Amino acid sequence: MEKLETNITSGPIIELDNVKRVFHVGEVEVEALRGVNAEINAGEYVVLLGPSGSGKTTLLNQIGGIDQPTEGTVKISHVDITHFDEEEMTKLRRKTIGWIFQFHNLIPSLSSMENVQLALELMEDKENQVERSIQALEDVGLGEYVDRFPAQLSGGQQQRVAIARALVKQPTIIVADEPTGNLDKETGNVIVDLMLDLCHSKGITFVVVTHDPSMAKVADRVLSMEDGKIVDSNVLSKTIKE
Amino acid sequence: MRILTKKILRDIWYQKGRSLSIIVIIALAMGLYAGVLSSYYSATDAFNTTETQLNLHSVRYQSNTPINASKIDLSHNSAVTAVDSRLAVVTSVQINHDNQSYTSPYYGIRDGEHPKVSDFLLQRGRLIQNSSEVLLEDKFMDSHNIQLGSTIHIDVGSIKINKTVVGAVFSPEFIYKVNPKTGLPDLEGVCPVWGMLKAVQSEFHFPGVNEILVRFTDNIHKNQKVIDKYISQVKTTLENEVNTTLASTELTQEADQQMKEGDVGALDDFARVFGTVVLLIALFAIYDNISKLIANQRNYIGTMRALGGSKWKVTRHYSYMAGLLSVVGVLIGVPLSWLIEYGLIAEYTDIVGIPLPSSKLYLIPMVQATSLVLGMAFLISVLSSIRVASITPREAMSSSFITQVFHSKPIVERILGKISSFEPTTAIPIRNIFRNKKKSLLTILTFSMSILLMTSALAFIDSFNYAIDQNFNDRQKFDMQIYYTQPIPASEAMDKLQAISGINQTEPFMSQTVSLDLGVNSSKTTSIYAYPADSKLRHYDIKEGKNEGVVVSGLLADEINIKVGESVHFSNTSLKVDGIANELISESIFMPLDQMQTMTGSGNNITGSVITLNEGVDQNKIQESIKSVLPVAVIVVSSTVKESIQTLIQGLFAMIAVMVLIGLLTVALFSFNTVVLEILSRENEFVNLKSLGSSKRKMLKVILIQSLIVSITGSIIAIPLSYFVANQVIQALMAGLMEMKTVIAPISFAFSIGAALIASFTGILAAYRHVINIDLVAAMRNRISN
Repeated sequence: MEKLETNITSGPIIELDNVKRVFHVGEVEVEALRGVNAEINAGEYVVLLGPSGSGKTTLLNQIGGIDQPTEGTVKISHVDITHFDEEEMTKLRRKTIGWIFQFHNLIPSLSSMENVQLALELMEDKENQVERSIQALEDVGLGEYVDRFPAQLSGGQQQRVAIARALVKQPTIIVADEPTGNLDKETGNVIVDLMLDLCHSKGITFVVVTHDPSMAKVADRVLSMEDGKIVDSNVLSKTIKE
Repeated sequence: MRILTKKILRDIWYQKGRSLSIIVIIALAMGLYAGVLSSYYSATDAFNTTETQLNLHSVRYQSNTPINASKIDLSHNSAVTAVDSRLAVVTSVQINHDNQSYTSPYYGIRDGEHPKVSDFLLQRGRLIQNSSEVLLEDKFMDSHNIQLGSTIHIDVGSIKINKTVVGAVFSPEFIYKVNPKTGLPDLEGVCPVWGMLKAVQSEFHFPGVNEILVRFTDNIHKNQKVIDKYISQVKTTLENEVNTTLASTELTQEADQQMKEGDVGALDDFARVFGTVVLLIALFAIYDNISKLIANQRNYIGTMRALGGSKWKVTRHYSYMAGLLSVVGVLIGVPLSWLIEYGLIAEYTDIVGIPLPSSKLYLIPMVQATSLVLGMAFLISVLSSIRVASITPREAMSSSFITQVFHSKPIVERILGKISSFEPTTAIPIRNIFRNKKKSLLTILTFSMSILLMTSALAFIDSFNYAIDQNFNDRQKFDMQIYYTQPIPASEAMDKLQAISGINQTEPFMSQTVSLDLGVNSSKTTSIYAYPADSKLRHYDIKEGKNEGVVVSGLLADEINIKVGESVHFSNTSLKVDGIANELISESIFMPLDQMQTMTGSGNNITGSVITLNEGVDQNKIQESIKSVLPVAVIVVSSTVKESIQTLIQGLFAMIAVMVLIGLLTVALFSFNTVVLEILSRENEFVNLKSLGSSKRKMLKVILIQSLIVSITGSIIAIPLSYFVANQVIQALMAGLMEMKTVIAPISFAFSIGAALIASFTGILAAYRHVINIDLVAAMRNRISN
């Protein structure tokens, strides 16, 4: 795999050029992405906004390294990942991308700390795993819950553990798929504030999918999607605020 | 401890039910396979231990003239560990409370002492102390209710001598009690007796001994050439010492030993064949359970992959999980195998009548079973893990419930839908079956497999009983077969027999023992039987060729590799084979009576007769009447022969009976497990139904329809599968011993399938209770978060 530059602090860190994604469901073809062009700069907090079925999650999957386009190119840190093989994609997810899912996807049999530590173990990064995991939990405000199991945490707390898990490996990019979709408004706001804080304090690029315009207000940029295309990639957040 | 290691242990604990299923199935597979295999080793040990403890002879030298025992001296021969002598005669005995005459090998031994070679175990009473006392074989005493102190009558010529029974003994020479006259096992009809040497010598006017028994050192037994060399060497020495010609019979040539070898050999085949059936069943059950366990982790697999876990790491993780369960299962299987082996061998030794050996674990079967079961489980774990780890993270993290792709209704529903449309709660289970055809087929086959062990075991019993019935009802229709001491005119025999009240039909026959020339200095002793061409009492079930001329039994034809149209060769003649017949146990040649009379130049003479009796006649009186008018050598009663055939494989039958019980357990466990797993793997579906407000009745309907389809289809598939497997089992077990057609009685199928369906219903009820008690809130939360 080409070495990804991890020290990009400005300029595009994610480049999408005419990205298309077609799914075949039986005899039916579904065009989830129909030629997406966009650039996301390092350290930006970008929201992919759109109604259900607009292709936001599919686009996020291309950026997050768990899917590849049918056509077009995706570059991460100036490296074209479009034709990466399975092993290279895995390495990308392991070292460069942090994932936050709508349904947190925590392992129920592991405690909060162990769920975070899992990410380091999968990276085969043995250095100070426990300390780093605890620190990551403290960064998300769950320093006192290290030994709690997911079933013993509230929805918001579970999602914060998921954020800590994404954070602990110090990724370049964190992608979040409807991170507040499963939470009440107040808790959702807490999560968004946390992610923003991490973005600005640690310089991590955040790409967040949501269908809730109110969640997009805080973004540096909003990419609006409709029918598999970006219909507006201006700095709409200001417009939304206004 | 590493996180992934902790995850394995905790996931196993949290999914206790599934984990326990896998452990139990593997333990059962290990226990059954190793237990059955060990029982063969244990049986061999039982015999060897008995023979060693009782110093069973390695060779028996016989003389027609009296030998002076004091002249026997083999002390200088280092290969000989022990030597003894005795006087052996074959006579008959009667016991007080019946009028039967029993064939009796009667031995004269030193009074008050145990023989030095071919000793016996004194089970009750004491050793003989004077000439009026005898020892009797214990099983004969038990079966004929002879007590210590009873009187028996020994025939010495025309005189009957009374003897008092003072002791009951077990002798390794008489486990199968082969009747010296018929060559068949005769547990009820052979009565071995031991008396004072001087008494026997006096009674039979034989001033000496006529048998010298020699036991060689154990290492000599390992090589046939070495044994032959020492037998010959010792024979020469003895003949010089006692100044008489001796015949020798090596232990392996003794009829009882040959029966034992056949029985134990059948045990070995039984162990391997049933062991293979057990492994086959286990393969399906283990695969079903492990693949479902791993598939249940699909979401976590997707998460780990999304977090950057490689396919290899994920595969390894789940292989370890299933592997750990397999190791635990195997460890539990070890003591289970000992229990099964002990149960089997206790049953076997009790029936055969040998002492139970001390229990121990046999290394070879354990290693074999462990390698096979563990290897199989590991392979399944790895393959299942590889398959699931290969799913893309995106797909893996999507709920498997949601990503089931439907294009159209299954064809069955489309066809049946023309008759009437289905309610959704009827359509759901039908579409589930056809949604994932591979998974459905695996589940159905696992169900079918669970029935196999029991049906195979029952098939053996059914086939054996059918073969016996067919042989004695359709082929050999006579009640008695009379052998004359010399050829007599057929008409004389017929007239005298028909004059005896109680005899219904009578036909003549001839028999002759011949030596088949197999070429290259090889020969085989067999018998020719000749019945009238239009015989009503002896039929042949021709499987190749035609029913005329020379017919060879199937067993003999296979052994000497002869086909219809080829010739069998004797020392001075050859006969073209016209037909090959299915015969139960006979390895004989058959031809029409007139052809044999011409061939032997016998004119109208015959060497025997077969008769049928009227209902309810006293067989003993008939035999006495026949003996009083005709020169009878021996009368073979068909019912006794039937019992003898059963005795021949009594040990095997004991094992088969235990297999039926184990099969019942297997049916219950595996059927239950298959159905429960199938229902629980669709838990999400039931959560949905419940959340939509489905009644318990509707939920039960959904469960029942799919489970019934699986159970009934599995049961139907089990019928031809059972027949196929049973056929392989029977042919493997009986090859060369008996010709048996595979028959599975409808009642056996009904019993096996009934047991499976009952277990299946129990599983349905258990799973139904679990489903209706699902905590909807927790389940929805879990489903959303996973």
